[in-house]
Amino acid sequence: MTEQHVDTTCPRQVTSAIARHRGGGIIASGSGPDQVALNRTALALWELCDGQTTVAEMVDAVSLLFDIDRDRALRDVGSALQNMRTAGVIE
Amino acid sequence: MTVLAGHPSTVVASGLAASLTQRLGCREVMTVQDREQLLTAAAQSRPDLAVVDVDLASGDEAAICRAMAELDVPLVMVSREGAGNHLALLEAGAGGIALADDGIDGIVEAAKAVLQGNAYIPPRLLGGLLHDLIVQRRTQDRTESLVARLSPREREVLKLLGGGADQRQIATALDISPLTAKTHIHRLLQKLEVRSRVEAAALAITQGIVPALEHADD
Repeated sequence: MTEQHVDTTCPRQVTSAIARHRGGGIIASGSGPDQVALNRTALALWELCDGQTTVAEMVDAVSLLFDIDRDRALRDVGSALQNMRTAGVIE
Repeated sequence: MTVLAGHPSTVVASGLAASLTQRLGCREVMTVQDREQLLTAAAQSRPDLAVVDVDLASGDEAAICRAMAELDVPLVMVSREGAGNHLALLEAGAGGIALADDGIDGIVEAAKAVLQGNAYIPPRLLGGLLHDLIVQRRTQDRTESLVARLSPREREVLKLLGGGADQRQIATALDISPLTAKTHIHRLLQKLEVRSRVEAAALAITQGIVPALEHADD
């Protein structure tokens, strides 16, 4: 049995972050120097960044909804959140 | 490839069939206008895919999802934004959901994804579905933690309540006095933080606690 990583941190949108439509996609910008393009899954995750939902809950939900294994969901969610942190749209 | 297209309107079903034939390169697209036709056609022809509008389901979309899943027929349910419980459709076995507002392009995109074995969720529904799933999991986790408070005897009582037993029947089944049964019921209601036996029984059934307890007894 593989060890399951449980991330109980609760990302939160920074209050200054804004998302706007551009070129058929969503671009979010915040306190960081760069903007981040949000695909549909990333946008849904960003909406879940309410300061109460844990990363583990997001990973479980993505894994169940898309019927993918938890390790893949962990990588996908982790990568999307890292991009958002770098752009300063979540903290 | 054969596809089954279901919509209560003959005109719409035929239009859907024509579009799917052209866009998916189907060998055959059958059309059905009601639930009985759908179930019969799916059982007899075992199509590669069924594309069914929720209006055909007469309010029990999840039953159609379950029926198609039992027949091993991949299903795209065509729904409306804000209508019904989309999470329940996916949990009941729908491979994907398409929104009627997205037109034939959205239906074809969903059909292609499901034919490839992937789940398909329209972008506009994604955030809401993830949120609903998280809330559902929290409720489930809370229920499990509440049940974990019960003593073995109270678990037995809850199982009997879930099976529809009243206080007297519980007393008989457990060979205890009616007063003792009443005490167990009172305590388990407090521990489960519910106000009535009906709520406790519903909790035992809807949360799958009855089967879980039976399994735990093995």
